[in-house]
Amino acid sequence: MSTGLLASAISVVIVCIGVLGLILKRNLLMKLLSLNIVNTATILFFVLIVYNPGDRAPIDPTPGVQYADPLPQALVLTSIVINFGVLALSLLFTMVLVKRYHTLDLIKIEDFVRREFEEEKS
Amino acid sequence: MEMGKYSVSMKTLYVVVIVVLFGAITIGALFMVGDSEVSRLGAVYLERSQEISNISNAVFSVYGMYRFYDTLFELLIFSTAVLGITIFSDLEPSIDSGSRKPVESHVVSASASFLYPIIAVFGIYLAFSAHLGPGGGFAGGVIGGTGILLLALAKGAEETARNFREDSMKQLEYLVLFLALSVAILGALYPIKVYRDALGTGVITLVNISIAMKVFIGTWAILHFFVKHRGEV
Amino acid sequence: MIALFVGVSSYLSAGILSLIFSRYRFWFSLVGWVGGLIGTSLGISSYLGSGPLVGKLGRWGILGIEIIIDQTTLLFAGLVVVLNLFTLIYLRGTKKGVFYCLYNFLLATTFSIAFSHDLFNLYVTIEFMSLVSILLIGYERKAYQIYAGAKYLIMSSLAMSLYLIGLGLVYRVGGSLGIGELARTLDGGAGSCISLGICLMLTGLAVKGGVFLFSMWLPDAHSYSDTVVSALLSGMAIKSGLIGIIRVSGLVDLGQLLLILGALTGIAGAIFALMSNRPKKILAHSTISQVGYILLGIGTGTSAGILAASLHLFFHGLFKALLFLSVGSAEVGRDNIDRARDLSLPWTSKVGLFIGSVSIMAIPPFNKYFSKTLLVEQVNQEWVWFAMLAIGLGTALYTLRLDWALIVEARTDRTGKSDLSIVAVALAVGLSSFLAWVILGSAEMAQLLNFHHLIAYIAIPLVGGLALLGMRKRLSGLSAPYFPFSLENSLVSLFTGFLVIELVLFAL
Repeated sequence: MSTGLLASAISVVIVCIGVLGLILKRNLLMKLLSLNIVNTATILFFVLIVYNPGDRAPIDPTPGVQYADPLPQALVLTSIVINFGVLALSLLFTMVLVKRYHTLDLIKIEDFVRREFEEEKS
Repeated sequence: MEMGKYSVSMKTLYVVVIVVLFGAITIGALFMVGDSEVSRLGAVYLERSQEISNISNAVFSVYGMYRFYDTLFELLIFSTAVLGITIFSDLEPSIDSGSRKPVESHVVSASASFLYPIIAVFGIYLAFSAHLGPGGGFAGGVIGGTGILLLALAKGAEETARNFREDSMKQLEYLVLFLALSVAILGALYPIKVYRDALGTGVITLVNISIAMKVFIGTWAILHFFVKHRGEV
Repeated sequence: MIALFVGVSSYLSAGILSLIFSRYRFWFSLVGWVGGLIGTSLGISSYLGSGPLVGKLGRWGILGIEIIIDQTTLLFAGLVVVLNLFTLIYLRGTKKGVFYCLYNFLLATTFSIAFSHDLFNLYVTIEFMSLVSILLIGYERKAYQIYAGAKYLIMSSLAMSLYLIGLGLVYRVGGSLGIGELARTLDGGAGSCISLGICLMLTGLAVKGGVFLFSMWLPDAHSYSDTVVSALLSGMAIKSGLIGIIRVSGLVDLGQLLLILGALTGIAGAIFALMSNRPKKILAHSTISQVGYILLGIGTGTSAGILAASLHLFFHGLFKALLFLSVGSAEVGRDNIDRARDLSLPWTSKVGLFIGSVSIMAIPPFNKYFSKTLLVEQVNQEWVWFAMLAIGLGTALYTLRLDWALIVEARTDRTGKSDLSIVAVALAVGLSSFLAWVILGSAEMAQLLNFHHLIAYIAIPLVGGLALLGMRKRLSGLSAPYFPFSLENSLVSLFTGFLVIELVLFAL
């Protein structure tokens, strides 16, 4: 197993840690942090899976030299921006919920939300 | 289930088991990849990156040329995030933001006004030279935007926002989307004309600079919103 | 290629312009619709001229983004354009410019997804679709809408992370991102690494596509949001995940897996819809149930099965939008149907509900009858046949329950405003059966309209109606359990679903 694959296996472990936090933490902010860990580890995975030791940065390539694969790096740029957008919007929504209910506990928020939906006449 | 001092509920145990299984399966897939190297698309990109001679950064040639259509959607995602923040911008801050004092430290405020020009120049440099080396419009824009955050923390958010006329700059942001849209379409239809013959590196630099401008405005809008609504420290 | 550019660029421009010049938002959106229509017609003319086409976006040769024009593409693009028209005449300039901007962005990205045949392009466009959707869900800024949006955002972000992991595996082994290119490289002999990667991607897409166990965010998001948003999300947005599944299913043989998931999704959705007591909740659960049919169609693996799935995707978009709009225009979406005698609906809503219900129950000659019979003809396993029967019976039960409450029990509101646009939409939905005739041709249609099918499809609602007479007392006062749909449990069920996929794939 090559170095890149080994390293990406470690990033899968980080993904798992993030997922555990995402499911088990009751605090909404903690959930968002865990989600961000998952997203970042995914980016790490995507870059590392095609990594070979000794690759050079793909700038001004000349034949005969081993360069890193430029495609995953370009794609990862896109997904970094996407994660930024997701983080901004999820923090925004969390803020609105906290202003309304004054709690970050997800189970309490879910309770409030359901009651509000059922009681409000359309 | 009791485990010494701690009690672990069945649900937690179940969650841990399924997540560990998920990890084990994915890592198992990595073991099955094998060492055989297939010829990947990336190699073709490297080969062809000399096709248009004035772009030497192969990563840029992927996201700036061949896959600019994806980058267009990336820009749109960023704008949508900014738009979402703008929709909620009339949300009441938790405490009166006017009365909030900036950080009272001469070191911070002096070094901020000294550092900001350097940060800004670095951001602009990255945006200008994206096709030659590491960098790009996004990186440059984010660096500029976070530089303003430094100013805002040192001198007060409201004053900084007044200086930068955030609202009028937001209109500019949407013009960039039109530019990106037209480059995505024209570049796909007439690649050689747009990227080499017509303006040479001009189009590339123009696109990069305007993306940097847009990301700069967007980053500052988002950061300003969160600075304004931050709770009591 | 031109078709894609015309549609996407006109929708995007309409979105940006209606934000900047919000006075003319309706007219800009109308121009955007014309652009989408032109784009779709260009696609149709290209398909009629040279048949299905897999090409590259731009003149980059192998390096460009791969796009496709086939029946699925055209049906989905057509769905976008038709739903755009429906919602535009329903809206008639009632919302602000920001809403129109997001609305047009949503249309642009779904239009683009129809043509996409590239794994990473699918990722970006679907991610954009979900970001725009959550802003639309939370548009009215009610706390429950914000919560539903946040739940959708968290689930979908996690799902797309899984998709990206799968994409990494596929790229490492397959070496390219275009689906046609990959299919040529793999040549049918996909290794276990590729199929694991595809499984991860399937998980991600299933979260977007409304598959049971994966998209437990759906009932909340679709029932809490605004009428037009519900119609667009249920009719169009979740279909982008299903389009992704259709595209990906060509790479690895997923037949049996998709059949099992489809049967599970259809039956579970119908059960939850039957237990719910608020019209919008019923419709949201019914969306999950109908997704089951689409999965069954993809699972058959034949080209006619895919066509049946695509047709069903199109027709479901139409009648589900009609149902949401009629319930929404009468403003009864959140009322309890056990107390339907207190409600009053304008006659237009009742007409819309009636047409939508006979369509969803697949009564001939309404549109769903044709897609469903086409699907039945493709199925050759007995248990799938029984599963379809069960889904059909469940659909008849919850639809008749909704109809009994809202059409028969509720009063007809003669004084209130009656929205004639609903009737126009209902007329269009009723006439959409002709489209099946255009696509399938007369010979196929005659085969579908045979005696056995006709009897079966008239019998199912009758049996359902009789069963409902016995069950009505027991159903009233019942409300669907909420715990499977809370954020924590829906995340747990997502990973359970992933393990189920793995188990099925490796056991068979």
